[in-house]
Amino acid sequence: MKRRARQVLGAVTAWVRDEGADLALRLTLIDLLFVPVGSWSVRPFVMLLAAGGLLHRAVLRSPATWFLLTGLTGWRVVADWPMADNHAYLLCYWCLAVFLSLLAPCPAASLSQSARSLVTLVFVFALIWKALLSPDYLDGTFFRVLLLSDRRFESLSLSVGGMSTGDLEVARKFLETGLHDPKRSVPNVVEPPSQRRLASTATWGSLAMEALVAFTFLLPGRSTALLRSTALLVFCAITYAVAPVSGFGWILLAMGVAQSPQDAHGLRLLHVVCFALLLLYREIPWLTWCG
Amino acid sequence: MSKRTRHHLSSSQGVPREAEKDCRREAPTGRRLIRCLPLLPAVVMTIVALFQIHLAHTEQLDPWKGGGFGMFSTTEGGPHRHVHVYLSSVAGEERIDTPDSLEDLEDRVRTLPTTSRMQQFARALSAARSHRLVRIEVWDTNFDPETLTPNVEVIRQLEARARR
Repeated sequence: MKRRARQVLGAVTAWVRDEGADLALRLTLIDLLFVPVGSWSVRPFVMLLAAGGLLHRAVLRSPATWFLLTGLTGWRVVADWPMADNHAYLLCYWCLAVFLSLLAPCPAASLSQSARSLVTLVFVFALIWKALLSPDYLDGTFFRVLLLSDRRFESLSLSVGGMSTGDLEVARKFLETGLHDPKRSVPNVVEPPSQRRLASTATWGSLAMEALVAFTFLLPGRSTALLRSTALLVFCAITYAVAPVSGFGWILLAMGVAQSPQDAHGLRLLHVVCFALLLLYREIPWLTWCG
Repeated sequence: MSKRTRHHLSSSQGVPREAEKDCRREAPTGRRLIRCLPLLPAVVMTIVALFQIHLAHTEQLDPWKGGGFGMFSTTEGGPHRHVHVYLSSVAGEERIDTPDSLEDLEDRVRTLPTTSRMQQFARALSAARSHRLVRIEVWDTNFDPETLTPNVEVIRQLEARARR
């Protein structure tokens, strides 16, 4: 049994080693199939290119594939302006980075450099918004309102926050209905202490994790690779367990693989495991079982 | 795809650290521009994100949108922002629901209520309904940090006469 497990592990490690920089490209294409992007004028072509790249190595490594993907994802951002979400922008930048790396003398090194700079900027700008620009993040208001009003976080409020379904309904009415009525009369929000603690943990935990990722990615040198990758993996494993935006997490992980040293097979394998974990988070309603 | 690219993409060609040194050696000094290419996506991203911050502060762009990575940072925008449309005729002023055909434009007005976009929305409304005057208001909600009591305020408004 032990020998068999060792054989399987060896085979998986060999696969990660043989994939090289292709691993990041493949994870990106899987993301495009798991979360199809854009409208009818973009989506089918993106999906066809993604499937083609996964099926055939020459398509995967062709600059033309990534040029087309950059154009399609870029067109989606422009056509939807200003409605596209942030991961639509990041996806476009990443496709551009892959395209440019395939033109470079050393694609793997070029891709690694692009990935590291993009991840750094994502977290630096997210931090700037949370810590400096937002009027209601640091005082906890944002997460208190989000946890009460956004139905995507209902399971979290019910299971961890200790809210009841009735209390959540009352809270939503309080936050959303009759806002323009001067004679508005609705019962106040009831937040149990556990819900307040949850909001506070989410506020400071998110900020701390994002600061940690930004800081480790800003550290110079190759020797900090383990630190960088660990910070990104921890961020993804925790954040996307509750945040319903796995598409963003998958792009970050694809970039994480690209920037990690190619001889760090275990680290690269952990990115693949985390990628799979995000799919499980998305598809299995595990939070509802915690209530 | 060139053989050169295939060589460098495959990790089986050698130890990556050495491969990186090889890459640096291989790049001729005259090709500095190509060596800077990996930074191009980051430069584009920085420009877009700074522009998003500018628009959020000058044109009330929804902080969650526009490529500035302001998602999950504020209650401003998103579901807490509303557009109200009033039409005036000889019978008086009435608030109307946006026609289904103009919902996409209303979403864009709510997300980035620039004067030109609001004027475009007003013109589209004029084409859909007869009236003398159209008034468009964009409202946002802020929440009391203690009680979470919502307070709404107009962040942008525009009045436009119907073209005769």
